[in-house]
Amino acid sequence: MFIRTEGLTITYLDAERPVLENVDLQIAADERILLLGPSGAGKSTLLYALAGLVPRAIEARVTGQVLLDNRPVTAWTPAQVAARLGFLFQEPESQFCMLYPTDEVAFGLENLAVEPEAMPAIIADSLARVGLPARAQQMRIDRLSGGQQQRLALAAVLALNPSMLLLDEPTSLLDPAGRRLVVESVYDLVQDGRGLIVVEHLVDPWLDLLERVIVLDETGRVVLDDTPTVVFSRHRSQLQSLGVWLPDATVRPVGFIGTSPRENTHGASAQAEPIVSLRHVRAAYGDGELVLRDISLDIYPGEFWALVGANGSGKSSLAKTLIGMLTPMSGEVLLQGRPVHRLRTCELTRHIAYVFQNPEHQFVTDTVWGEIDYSLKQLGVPAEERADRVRSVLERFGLAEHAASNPFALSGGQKRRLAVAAMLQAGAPLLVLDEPTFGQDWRHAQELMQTIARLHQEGITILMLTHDMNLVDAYAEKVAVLHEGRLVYAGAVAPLWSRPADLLRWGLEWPRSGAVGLRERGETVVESD
Amino acid sequence: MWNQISPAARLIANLAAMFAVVMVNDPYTPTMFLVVSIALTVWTGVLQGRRLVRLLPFGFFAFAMFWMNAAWANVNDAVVVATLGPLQFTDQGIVLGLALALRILAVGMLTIVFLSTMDPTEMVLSLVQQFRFPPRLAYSLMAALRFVPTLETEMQLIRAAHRIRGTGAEGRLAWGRRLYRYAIPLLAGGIRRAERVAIAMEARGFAPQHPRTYMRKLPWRTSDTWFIVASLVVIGAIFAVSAHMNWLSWAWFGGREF
Repeated sequence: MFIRTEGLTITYLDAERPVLENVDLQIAADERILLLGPSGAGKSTLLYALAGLVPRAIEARVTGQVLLDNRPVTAWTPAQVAARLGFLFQEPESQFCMLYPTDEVAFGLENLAVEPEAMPAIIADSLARVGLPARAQQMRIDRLSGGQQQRLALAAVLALNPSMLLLDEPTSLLDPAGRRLVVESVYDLVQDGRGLIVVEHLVDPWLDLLERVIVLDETGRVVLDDTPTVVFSRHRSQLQSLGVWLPDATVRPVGFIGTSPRENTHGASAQAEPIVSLRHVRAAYGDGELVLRDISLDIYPGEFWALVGANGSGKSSLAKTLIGMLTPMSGEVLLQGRPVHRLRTCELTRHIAYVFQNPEHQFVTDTVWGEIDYSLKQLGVPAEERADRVRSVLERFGLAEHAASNPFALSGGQKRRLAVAAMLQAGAPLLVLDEPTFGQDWRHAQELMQTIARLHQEGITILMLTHDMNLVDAYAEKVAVLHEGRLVYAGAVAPLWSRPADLLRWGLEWPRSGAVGLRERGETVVESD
Repeated sequence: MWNQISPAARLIANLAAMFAVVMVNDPYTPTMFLVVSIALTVWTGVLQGRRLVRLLPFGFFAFAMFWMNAAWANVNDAVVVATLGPLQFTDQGIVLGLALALRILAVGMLTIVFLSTMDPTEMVLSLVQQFRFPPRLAYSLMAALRFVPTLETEMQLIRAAHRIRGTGAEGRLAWGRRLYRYAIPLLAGGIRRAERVAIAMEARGFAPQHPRTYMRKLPWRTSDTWFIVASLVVIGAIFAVSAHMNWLSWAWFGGREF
């Protein structure tokens, strides 16, 4: 057996309970396996342990053992492990240590002490096999797109000719176009009988590859281990209760909406003044190329807009004009009829609440309590009133038990909820979210989206930048599509899905089949949680 | 031919020249360094002429130093040679200022030559292979280098993110506190990234205690030694000329007053 674990139990040093408990697995080198489980189930930890990175590079208490090729994995040198298992990480840019692709691929070969004369041929072959274009091979790594970076990382592990690939959420930080690049490459690579263990929340793209699904529960125990057909058909309710994303056309993945809010809003708001109004906005960074080309868009009170487009299409730039981070060369950006550049910072916060992609950037105090308190203090709320209000806000956003925690110590989803809560205190009627679910697992993404949907029902106007068409389909009423700095679509969500050719051209994708069209048929959506 | 000289040899030659420049405080010696380095690099095609634009920031700095010294240098028995409003320019101040300004320009020029001909990857490999620099340190350096351009973008994001929370309203006194607030997410992000890179490197088989090969071999050649010798000769020649003309003045051991 290529990989065998016996009673594997792993406890991180600062944790009270094990992240993995008593895991016994036997894995052949040519198996193609999906590892599923809710967040905190220890999926990534299991991959790390199989490759000996736990406990070698990441400290943890490990009992039981991991055998690779019939020897404890830690008895092999890192180079010997790397020659057997190729590891692809979640975050593209932080798995490289060189400046150029060729050097990066060479790095692994050098670690294996391969003869330098043999390297150029291996490198060229690996880069070609993952389909990294010749031009990209000459570029600096940090200039490559996320998808290309992941392809490069694949080439770098492929060069070592491992028997098996371990993929730790390799596409979760990519836009749809980048995701396609990576999935295609992996499909090509396993044609020669190479094995695969993949951890991924978005299961669908991998389905055709898989032979076996291993499911872990919250306590880090293996609860299911069978073929995809058996796991996904017979154990559906169990998976659902675990909070695991189901790859099925008939299951509604998301479901907050009980009554469809899509119909009522626009009619009521048509006469109202737009809450955001962009008029012929053109913008560029410095002397660079235009990133926004003549954008005009009106957002009315109470609407829920999604702003989508491939990386570099101008989404973030557009959002930046709303808070004066990017000043248009021509055209106007109006918030409730007032030009953004005329608003002072303290006025701006009363018009717009903006949650950055990395919520950590917005924290200005040392406690969760302090963050909300700070926002209220900025508003001039007297100290004696603040305590009660902070308490109720934390309660509402499900953060009460973390009041004394440092904001940096929260989970990704909690951090975003805190940022949303802190930003909304100034009473802004508009909430802008930059990639609110980026890099989060399904359950945390759901929790956050439910919070946002609730705020929307309370009357807050939402503008959400996202790559995730499922979120667009499930939550947004309107969608604006940017492509190369131009607004190529703005309007209702459903008609967009009937333009597959355009979606592809704009670097977007369809929402998963199950999600499409449900709303048009007027079916009620049940909450899956 | 420049490309064939080991980056480490160039580093040594460059450091030697810089050291020589900061050792003197007369205006003539740095002028010769400036002229010779421009001549050698531009005329041999190592540096394109238009790259000299990069000297501009050094030029501004040099001019500011010259101006300050010319007008306010603390010198004895100075003769005022010119006045501009309340400013009095003294003869000794002008010489002192000129010497400082030229040293700044000469150091600037040497820096530009070094940086614009250096390939960071080769520099690191050269340090590892020729000077037994620990690979773990060297590769961490490389990885860190990749994140420098992203730091600035991230800083801008953090500033904007804080501003929209209303942090601007605290007034100027709070700037130190604000800087501290900016530093926390930068540091937290930096540390997390460094950890991830280290894990990724190990996953690719990096273990400095085990033997490894190098695709790009940078052996120390005789030409590297000769390059250093030649550089030292040029430096020596400049000093010889300077001493011969009775221009030379040392900066650090009670050099002659002008």
